[in-house]
Amino acid sequence: MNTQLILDKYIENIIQIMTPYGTGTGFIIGDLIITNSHVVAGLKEVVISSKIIKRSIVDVIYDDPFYDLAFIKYNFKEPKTKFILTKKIVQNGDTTIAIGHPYGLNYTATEGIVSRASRLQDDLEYIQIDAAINPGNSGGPLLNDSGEVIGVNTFIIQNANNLGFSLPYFYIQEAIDIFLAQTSHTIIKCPSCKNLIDEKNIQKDYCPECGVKLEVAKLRRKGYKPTGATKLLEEILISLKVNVTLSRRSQSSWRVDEGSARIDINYYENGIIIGDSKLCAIPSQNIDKVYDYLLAENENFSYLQFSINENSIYLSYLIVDSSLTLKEGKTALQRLIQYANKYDDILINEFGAIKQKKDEED
Amino acid sequence: MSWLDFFQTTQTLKHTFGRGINANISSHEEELFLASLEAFEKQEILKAYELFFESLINYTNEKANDNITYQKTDDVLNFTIYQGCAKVTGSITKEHLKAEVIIIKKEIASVALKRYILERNYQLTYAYYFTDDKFIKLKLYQDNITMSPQKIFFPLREIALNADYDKEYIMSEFSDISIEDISHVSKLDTQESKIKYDFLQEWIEKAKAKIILLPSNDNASMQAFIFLHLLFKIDYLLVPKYMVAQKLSKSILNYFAQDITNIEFKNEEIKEYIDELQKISFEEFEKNFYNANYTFNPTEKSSYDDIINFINESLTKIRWYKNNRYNQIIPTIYKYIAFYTLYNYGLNPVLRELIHILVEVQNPEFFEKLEYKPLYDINIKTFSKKIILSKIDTIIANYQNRYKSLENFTQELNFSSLNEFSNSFYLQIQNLNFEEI
Repeated sequence: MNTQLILDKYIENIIQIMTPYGTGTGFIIGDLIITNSHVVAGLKEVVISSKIIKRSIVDVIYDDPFYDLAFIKYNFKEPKTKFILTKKIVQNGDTTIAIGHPYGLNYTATEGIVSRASRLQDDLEYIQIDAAINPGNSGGPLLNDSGEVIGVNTFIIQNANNLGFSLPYFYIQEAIDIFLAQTSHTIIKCPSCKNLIDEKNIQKDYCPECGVKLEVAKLRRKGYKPTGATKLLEEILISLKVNVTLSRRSQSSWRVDEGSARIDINYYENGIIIGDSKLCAIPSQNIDKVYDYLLAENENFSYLQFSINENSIYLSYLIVDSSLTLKEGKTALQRLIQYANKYDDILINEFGAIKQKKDEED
Repeated sequence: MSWLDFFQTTQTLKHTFGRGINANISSHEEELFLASLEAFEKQEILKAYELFFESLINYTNEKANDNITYQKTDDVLNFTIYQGCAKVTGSITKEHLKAEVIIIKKEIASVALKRYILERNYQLTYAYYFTDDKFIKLKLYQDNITMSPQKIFFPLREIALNADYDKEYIMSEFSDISIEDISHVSKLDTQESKIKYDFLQEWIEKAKAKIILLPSNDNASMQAFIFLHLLFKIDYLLVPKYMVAQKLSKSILNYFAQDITNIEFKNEEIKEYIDELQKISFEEFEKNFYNANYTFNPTEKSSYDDIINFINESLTKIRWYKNNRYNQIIPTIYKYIAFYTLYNYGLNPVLRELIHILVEVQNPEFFEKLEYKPLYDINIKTFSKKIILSKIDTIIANYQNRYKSLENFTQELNFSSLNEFSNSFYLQIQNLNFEEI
């Protein structure tokens, strides 16, 4: 089967996983989403989306930093054709396909070959591949040319070209089998004694079996806590009835969809917070009238402004972090969210502006 | 005041040179700024702004320049900030600051100009363009809830600098559109404009003559020094505005742009602009000049180390030309260093004043024509040593309260030739100690 056919057949199994720290990939096996432990970043909750699932908050139910594996409970519609873990032995030179969302480029499939079927690294065997996998591919499946999962794409060697490593299928199968045999479904695997620990039995983050400090337990207990202006921004969004976990794109960016408009809020290192909505593209006729309208509307705004970048019309709110207050920030962002949708409609319906194309839900 | 002043009365500056505020900041600037901060903390908003504006007023020959004016009542403070051809008018209440600049009449704006200002809205951080019944304006709206002098400085600077820049840009790019609200700028005296025009022509002629005398091979870098020196000199000494300023800065920007074009191509581009400049009539030339007040400097403060590094690199180049017997270009590079520094760096006032003295020494004919006492006689190759020493001494003395370790370096200057003087001057300004105590 060629790469495109495999991608088309199994695409519903591919999951995008988002945390405040970054994005990664996961895939469905049975009723679990398999990914890397480092993708879920020690969080109990992450956001996922796929071809058949809208952005949703889900629970991480198994976290194994030793294998760098994590499982997420999959409670959604089943894919038409489900992935299976291979039972065939991987050989040097086998053709492979890595699927993931590198750099946020959704559903990218990359072909390669197995450079070495068993490369020992820190007491674990990995499949070394030459496929060009990149950040964002982590946690994604490595497939053989029949479309069976042969590994989880786990790490690359930095600054080297095409040196990728996948955790092989037999470790995944072993982890699934042991996990499913447990009665509890919030499990942390101790990286020292390798025992599976029920999270509720962990006290002060120590492994109850061997006494080692469990970093994952500590991270899960603490959760993600924004601070400073980030915290205030999230408070403002919550006050506007926005689900911040779903809207969060990273620790410093959020996205809110309202009607046909999309609002991105970014907090930059220089202290500037920009909330802006890329509305429609300028029309091909009567452009002068659009400019007149935008400039006239700008007179009435207190917090917002229209601008043009490249060919698109933007409605924006800019503020310095130290000037942000709950009251003013709420007023401004509320207006931005409402007006973005309102003006997008006006500009499209009354001025013939061109509706923006949107990429996959991400 | 130094004992050297006994021999020469300090000259007052009658003209402005270079970009920026071209004036001294208030001697109480820091105290006023801190008092403003304190007033903001006590929520005495109008008083805080009053103190803040006082800290921004600049002085020429110890007289306030009226670059900011304001009237305060119990509830409102109305203000005007002048920045070249931009006049920022605004009002402040306890809750908000509103400010705007009138740019042009709405009805005459072309589609290209509207597109330009809407794209500018995307680039600007605090200010943005809009139209009212009559005009296109740039506006600023800030709430005062968490305000401080540090926070309001940047929005006010943005609206002032960008309104000034955009009005000049519009004059240059859309020549059929006239800018509004410029009654505060005053036309340059015709005699002064004529002096500037004559020098422009003379400098271009001399630059071209110098290029003809360069070795026929491998002279691209030397040509570049001659052309760039000319552009920087025009900018600093003649201080053109509007179209001349815009095109000149664009030429400089293009030259230093990291692109695929080689130095020969860049030289050719500058030459084309210089040819165009040479053809300008006096009547046209005169339209590109005005006197105005300025409140904000367009360049950020540069680090002293960056300036020293640039000077050192340039002196190394001079040594290379000297070792390779290209002596004809050396005087140009010595002058180029001063003008380049003044154009590109946000200079500490001490450094700026000192480098200005060097410029006066290096360009005596121009300053003499503007009725300043020349600091160097080209014909007999003699320096007005006492005046030079006195000027340096005064500058250093004026700033020693602030920079305790700032030392006079006049003993180290070499007056044996103009090149030696320039060289020793550059070596000495690298040793200034700006540690504040």
